[in-house]
Amino acid sequence: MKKRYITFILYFLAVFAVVIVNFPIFFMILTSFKKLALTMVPKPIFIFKPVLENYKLVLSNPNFPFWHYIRNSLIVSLSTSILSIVLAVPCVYGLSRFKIKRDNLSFWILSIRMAPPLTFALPIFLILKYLKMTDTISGLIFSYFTFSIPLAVWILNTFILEVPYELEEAALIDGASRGKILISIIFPLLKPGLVAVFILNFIFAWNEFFFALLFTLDNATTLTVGAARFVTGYSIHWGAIASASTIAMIPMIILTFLIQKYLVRGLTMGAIK
Amino acid sequence: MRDRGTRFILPAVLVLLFVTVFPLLFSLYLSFTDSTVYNIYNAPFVGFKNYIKLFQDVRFHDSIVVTLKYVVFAVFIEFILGFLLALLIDSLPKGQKIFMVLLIIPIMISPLMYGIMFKLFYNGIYGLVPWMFRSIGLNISLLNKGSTALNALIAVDVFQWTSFIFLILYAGLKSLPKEPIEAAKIDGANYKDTVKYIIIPLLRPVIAIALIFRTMDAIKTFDQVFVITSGGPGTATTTLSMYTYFLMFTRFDFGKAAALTVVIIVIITFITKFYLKLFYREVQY
Repeated sequence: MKKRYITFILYFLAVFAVVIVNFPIFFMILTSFKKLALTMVPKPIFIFKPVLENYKLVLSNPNFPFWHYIRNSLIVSLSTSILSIVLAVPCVYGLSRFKIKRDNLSFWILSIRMAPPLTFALPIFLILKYLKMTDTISGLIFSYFTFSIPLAVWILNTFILEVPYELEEAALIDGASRGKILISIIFPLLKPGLVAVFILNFIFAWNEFFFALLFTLDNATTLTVGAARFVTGYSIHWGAIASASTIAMIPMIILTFLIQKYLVRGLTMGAIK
Repeated sequence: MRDRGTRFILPAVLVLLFVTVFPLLFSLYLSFTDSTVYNIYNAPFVGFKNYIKLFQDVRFHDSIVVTLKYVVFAVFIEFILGFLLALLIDSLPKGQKIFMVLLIIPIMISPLMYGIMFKLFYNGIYGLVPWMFRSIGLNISLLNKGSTALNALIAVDVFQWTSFIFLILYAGLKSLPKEPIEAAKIDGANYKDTVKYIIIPLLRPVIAIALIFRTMDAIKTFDQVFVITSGGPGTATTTLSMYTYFLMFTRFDFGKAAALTVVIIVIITFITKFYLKLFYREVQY
């Protein structure tokens, strides 16, 4: 009897934690369906008739090129994840199959992950300026390499150790080249790792704000910077802000559910399995 | 010639050298020049002038203190809550996985979105939080006073990043060997003692990882500060990243900003060393 009582309390606390943790997100989504007048009241309202006017406003506002921002965010995030994989897979393959001072190199790559982006902000800004690449999509992708490649190398490094060496040996004896082995054997076997890297880098690039704010002006502005402009702008339209944020958040929430298996490994850089 | 695999590694290493090592060396060079917006790349050498200017700048001192307060309080609260949450979910007989996924949603959302959400919540007239304070008879304007503004920002950080500590520690708990915990139970140890004498010591390396990652991420906090307070009132919430932004885009004093970059790297190296020393003592041979 006592044990069932404790179990009940544990579940109650867990549900309570879930509600508290997700309340801000829930309230933001709720606000996005409110009429403007309902967001401008001193008392929060939870029951109301939902409307879509905020979404219409955000998606078809001539002064606010929302589709342009979405397009930029998609291009930047996709390119960041794909390019980091293209560069990282051969790198981890080389690191695992040849005698190289692996520990030094691995440590170097981890310490890059540790260095906060604000230490790269100034020099990369000036380099991009020198190359006339500020406010370009390629410039922004270039700056995102600072986090996307270390993350990709680190995660794939733990995955490639699980790829059996015997398969390759057989292929090598049959006369296959290293490049061919990489494409036809390693790539398919690394698939779970590649999915994790792809999605994590996609999320990080999609969410990134600091570099996007510093290095873009108009042409390459991403969704986060666009949404921030809404807030710091002269008119505060909470419904529109909430719906813009909801549009930016929903894909990430869905991805969280899809990749939960890889999340731990990705976020700890493989330190815990 | 022996195949050493260099051709596989080289592309990634070259790109990394170009986006990380080269910029840092470039910062080091700039920090000894008088680089401003008018003369960025060929500015004259000025020796340690930028560093002296930086260490005499009250705003720099303030930003160090603000960042320190922010990081210490945020990470401490997140660690306590995250650890309790990890123990709670780990002790559920069924359905741990679904609870875990529901609890880690905040990690995947841009800190900027949290900034926007809480700007809405903190709004003096229409905000949820002032309304809650009013309903218990308190009438405070959160963002107009230095100390409450900083606390309000710390609260945002806690709301988002407790989930991260939870996730790492929960994964750590799942990877612990079962035998010592079972043995303690058979010996009649209560839950509190099991946590204190068995779980925490075993979890030490994982705790180190969680704290290092979270501390580094907290030091770089920018997004929420930028939207919610922009560093104000006064300099009460000007963190190191807000100060960097200020030097770069308000003052255009690139030499001094570069010196700041170098100082931040030195600070971070020390913090990492400190954590590793604190938590890896027993593990090292």
